[in-house]
Amino acid sequence: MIDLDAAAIYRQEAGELLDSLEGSLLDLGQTPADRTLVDQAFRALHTIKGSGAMFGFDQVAAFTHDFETAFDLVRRGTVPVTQDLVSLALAAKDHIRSLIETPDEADATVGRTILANLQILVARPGSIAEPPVEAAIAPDAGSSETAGAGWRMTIAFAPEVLRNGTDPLALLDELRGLGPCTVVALTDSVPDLGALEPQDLHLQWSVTLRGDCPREAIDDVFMFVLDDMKLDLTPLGVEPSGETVAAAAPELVIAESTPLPVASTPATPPEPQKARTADKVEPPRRADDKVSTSVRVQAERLDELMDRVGELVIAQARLSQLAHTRNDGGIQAIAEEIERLASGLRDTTMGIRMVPIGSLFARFRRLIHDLSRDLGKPVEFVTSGEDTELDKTMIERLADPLVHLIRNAIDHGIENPERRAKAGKPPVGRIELLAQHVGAQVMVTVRDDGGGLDTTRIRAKAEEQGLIVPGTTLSDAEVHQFLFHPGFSTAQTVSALSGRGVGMDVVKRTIEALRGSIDVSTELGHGSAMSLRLPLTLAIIEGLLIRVGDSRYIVPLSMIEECVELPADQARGRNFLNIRGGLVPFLRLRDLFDAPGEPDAHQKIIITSVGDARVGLVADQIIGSHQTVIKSLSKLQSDATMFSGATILGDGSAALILDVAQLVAIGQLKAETETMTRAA
Amino acid sequence: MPTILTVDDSPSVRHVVKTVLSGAGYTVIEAGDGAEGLAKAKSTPVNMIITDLNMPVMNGLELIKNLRKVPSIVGIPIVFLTTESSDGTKQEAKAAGATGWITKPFKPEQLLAVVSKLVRK
Repeated sequence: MIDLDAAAIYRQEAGELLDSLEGSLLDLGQTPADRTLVDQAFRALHTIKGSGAMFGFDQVAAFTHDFETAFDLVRRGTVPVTQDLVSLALAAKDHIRSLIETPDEADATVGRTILANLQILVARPGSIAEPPVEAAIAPDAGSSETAGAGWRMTIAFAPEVLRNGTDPLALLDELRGLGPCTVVALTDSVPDLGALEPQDLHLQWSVTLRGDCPREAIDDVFMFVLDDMKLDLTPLGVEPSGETVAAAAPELVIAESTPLPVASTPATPPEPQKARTADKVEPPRRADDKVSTSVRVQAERLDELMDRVGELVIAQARLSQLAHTRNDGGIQAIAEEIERLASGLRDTTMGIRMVPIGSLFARFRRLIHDLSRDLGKPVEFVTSGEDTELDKTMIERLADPLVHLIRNAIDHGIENPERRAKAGKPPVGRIELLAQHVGAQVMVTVRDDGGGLDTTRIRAKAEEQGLIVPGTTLSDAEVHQFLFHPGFSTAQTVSALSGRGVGMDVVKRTIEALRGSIDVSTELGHGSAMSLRLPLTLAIIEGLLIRVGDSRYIVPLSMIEECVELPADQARGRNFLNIRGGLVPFLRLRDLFDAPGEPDAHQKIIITSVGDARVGLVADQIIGSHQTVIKSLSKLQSDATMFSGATILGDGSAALILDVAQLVAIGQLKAETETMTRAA
Repeated sequence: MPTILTVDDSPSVRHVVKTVLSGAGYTVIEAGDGAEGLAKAKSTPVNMIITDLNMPVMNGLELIKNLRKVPSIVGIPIVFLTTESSDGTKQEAKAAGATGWITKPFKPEQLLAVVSKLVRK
């Protein structure tokens, strides 16, 4: 009855629980006294274990059970939370994950080692050896008394059973199933009408059950109410007398009672119960506790939906174009309506794909925890802007670059505690991971309070590698760009963490492939910050449609500052424009793209900007804004660096999307050479 | 056919309960935490409620207490799922008004046994 589908659901759920467990454990490392976190971790373990056994993940259930048993001592406050315990618990968590994801490869000795270490830590030998799961609905083991002839019994339920959902008649029916019964209702305790509480049960029953029936079978019938009822049970043939009954089955003769204040059952020590109730009073404050109603959808379906919406937007653009050429108000109204709907659908679809970046941030906490321990550099990890949303694909592709930047920040940025002490800094380093919206972009910053970038050393290294001629005038920002040059490293010692194959050049390339950019800011001795600027989405952008010669191009709207007319006296000659006192170089797209024919009489300049750099692009005509569905270029066109993609216009023809970052770089370079040739 | 409400923060447990019970002909509705469970029990007539104890927002104990204050739920069987088979928890839950319990992990037949014990088809 339990299918593969359920196992998949379990895997996914367990994965999320393990993530949350990791979060709780890491938080616990910071605030060991936080009982809420211990409970959170415990709850996650509980569910992993319980469901694991149900879905046939027996190894998972067994290991988690042992782990949970030891961890229970922590929950009860018997064992304090220490860094060792947190590290061990994290290792156990990893082991559980491997048991779930790759059960065939999981190493049982790893599990045993973890448990052995855990046992030493909690110093309670024997506590781990309990059986993993109790048999469900197990009849109380103990007497296996049978009565060959049958039983005579008096049944008195607690008065509130009716309210609490027990149907005495159903239980009597069940009893009848065990053998031929004679049931007599006892009405002695039914009070007068005035005193009768309508929702209470006042009847009792006397039952004679004949046949060979073990007592467990009768206990089973009353299993849920056995503790709260009065059940006098005598084997047939034995005369009922209070004393014999009490001697034969003392645990069954329990005085009619509600919650048992029975001193003879020290089931659970009272302290943990109290501790837990006290915790519950504390208001939930962690984001994990937030509830949201959500639907799980496979990622591919979202991609498919986005594709479809893309096609729809293109088709809608064709419709609008066609409608404009017809002088038919009806068609035009419909076209406008569809345009509005398509744009709404586009926004909703993009919204569905947006995921808070917090899920990504959470992954790095473990990385930092491990790195900080391995390198002996205590580090505090601060995040903000976890709610900032980015396209799902973007978040996935951001993971590797961010890992690299964070690793660099700890490895090269944060100094060891002695050097920090000398510099008068707190011994614990600080890594910040921030996300925020900046216009139509998202900025993700990795900031450390370490030694900062040594601009002089980077420059010396660049000269040594022949990247610049010694003596060249370069701004600090330009010097820092060498960090992203392939094979460039100023690290004097290479640690195990450096050189994992992903260099800063790869980081830069990845970010640029996402149509983003990296800014570096640093202060020697006080730390540095790497800021990634990223577009919100990869699939559809707002673009400005322009015409150069016969061809049309798209400029991403987010990179445009303004559009101005090219003054007639500048139609030829000097490629600089004075904009409100600032000199902005411009590129003539006609020349760049070798467009045939004569330029239009009134050319326009689109001023674009990347970071601080501004460059104008001269076009023949500005057609208007355009919802641009980005289609990537094939490998064949991979050397066309000036374009980042293509799109399909309303009339079915294609337009190339300009890669503004590249054009700005080309423009700046041209401007420099021009200035230099002029100077020469 | 009787309607059964399953309240659990674990989708996999809800999935199993639903698969097993709907396979046996019951109608199953789901809720992901105590608060949602309470709301659904108030708005939909149910014949039985199966709830987890350890849940965010409103835990199982509070849910049971609150449910028993709802007039239409008086007399409806409420069964809790528990991995802790300790008497303390059981007594607490029963004092709150629970009818019975199912110890996790459970086999489909065990779940069905408890349900058919408490709900008449």
